[in-house]
Amino acid sequence: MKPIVVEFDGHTLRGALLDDLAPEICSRIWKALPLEGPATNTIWSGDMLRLWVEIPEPEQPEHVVPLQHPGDILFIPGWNGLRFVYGQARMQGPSGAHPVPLVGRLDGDLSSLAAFGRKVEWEGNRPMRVAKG
Amino acid sequence: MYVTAVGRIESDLGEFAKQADRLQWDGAGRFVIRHLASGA
Repeated sequence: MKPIVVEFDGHTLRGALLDDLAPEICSRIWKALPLEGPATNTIWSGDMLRLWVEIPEPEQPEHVVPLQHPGDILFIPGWNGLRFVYGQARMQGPSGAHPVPLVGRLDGDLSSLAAFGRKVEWEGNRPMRVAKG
Repeated sequence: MYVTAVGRIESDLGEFAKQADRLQWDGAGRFVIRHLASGA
């Protein structure tokens, strides 16, 4: 696994890319780090932040999972960016659920990320950064 | 959980949809529901 750090509003969370399970996508993300951009909440998917950055698209999806859990990091081919799950969430659009590649995990206490998600919901987009750990 | 539909928004929803999209970027906005001026 490749170690990463996620930074937002003075907080830093540690995590890892699951390159053993999604090697091609994680390689593209790793090469693109550091990534920095605005974060918003997703519209349809619950407690999930979207980091608006551009990652070179993989040829095909890897490690696709139908359910998501707090701490999951997702990459959705075609929609790009990264998604960070901080509570009850399931990736979906107006037509229903979308199984998506699970590409990483955040470690430890996620309460700061959950508070950040609530702040973004009420106050608008905020900067977020992902770097090699 | 069950939900109850209690009303409908009429006419063109284009501008309403644009404003709703902006909430994702700008955060919460003020939303007002009031009686029609005619009282109908």
